Amino acid sequence: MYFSCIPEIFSIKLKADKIKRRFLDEIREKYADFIIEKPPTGAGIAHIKFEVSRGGSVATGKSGKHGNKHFVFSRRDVDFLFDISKLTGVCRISENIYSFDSFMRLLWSVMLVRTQGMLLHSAALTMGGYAYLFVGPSGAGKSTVVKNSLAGNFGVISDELVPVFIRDKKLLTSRSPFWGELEPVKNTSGACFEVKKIFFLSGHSEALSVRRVFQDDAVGSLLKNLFWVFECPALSENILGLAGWIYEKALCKKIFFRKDFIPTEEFLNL
Amino acid sequence: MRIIKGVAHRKIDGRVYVVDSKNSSLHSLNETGSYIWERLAAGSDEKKIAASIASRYDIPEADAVKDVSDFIKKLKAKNLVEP
Repeated sequence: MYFSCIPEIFSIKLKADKIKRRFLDEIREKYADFIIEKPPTGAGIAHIKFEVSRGGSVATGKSGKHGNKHFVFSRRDVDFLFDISKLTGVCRISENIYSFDSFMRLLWSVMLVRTQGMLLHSAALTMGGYAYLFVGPSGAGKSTVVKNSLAGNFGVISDELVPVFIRDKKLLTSRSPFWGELEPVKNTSGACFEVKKIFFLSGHSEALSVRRVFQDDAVGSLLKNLFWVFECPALSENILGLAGWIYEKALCKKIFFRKDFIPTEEFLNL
Repeated sequence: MRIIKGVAHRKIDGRVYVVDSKNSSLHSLNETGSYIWERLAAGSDEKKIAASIASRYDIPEADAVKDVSDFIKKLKAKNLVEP
């Protein structure tokens, strides 16, 4: 099974062994926008040997034995070992789509971080070829912002988790298979959008207010809200570098908003 | 004293940020802390760092020795450096 994730950054070749057709169909349905028929070509292809367990824990308990070359993740339903330099790995999961989704989040995250990117807990709206991110943890209001914006003329990338990465000195984002409360919006285009602003969802208030973000706040908020489970110093340095780059580009603002806040084009371009 | 394996750092706009990869904790260091950290990362010892701080900030060496020692104690308490 082949996935074209972010064509500029990475794709996945999944070699699946002894997987029930019904489970494969479930994966195909959930990741329909990302699955391709022909093998991907070019750089950044992750080769994963993939197995499924139909009972008991798959954990090998190797989590924590990380270095700069390997990423290891092990919990009851997902066991994943990935060689960061060779881009090869082995994954064993319990037979359910949520475990597969967890594995995909891990893989997306590690593939992004190794190439000046990150997977950010953020909603993302698009307008006029640009993207606007609303970053915050669960409960901060990401889905609310997206729901409120649906009446407007926005495209939606996700209400939960979006990839961001640098290309040609620009911060870009693209479609995401990871959604929260909302039904995924179909998007097969694979287009990238330049991120024009990043709003940190900082709490509710009676009146809408947008504030400047200072350096510590910006770096801290980005790190707090990224999907990141690596105990790998080299990847951590990549993340710090990207957070600093984003701060220096002055893309970040803090936003306090009412629950009925509707983003408008004027607001986004303030 | 040396930086513990697994601790990553980056200088951003003049300030050093340190991440302990084991627990994902982020530490932001002030100007002097950033200077001391960079010297530690370059392999300097406590004595040499204190001497360079004294000359850089024009303060008595005894004060610099105490400041550097206090700062390194804090780093040790946070498991960021080890002897």
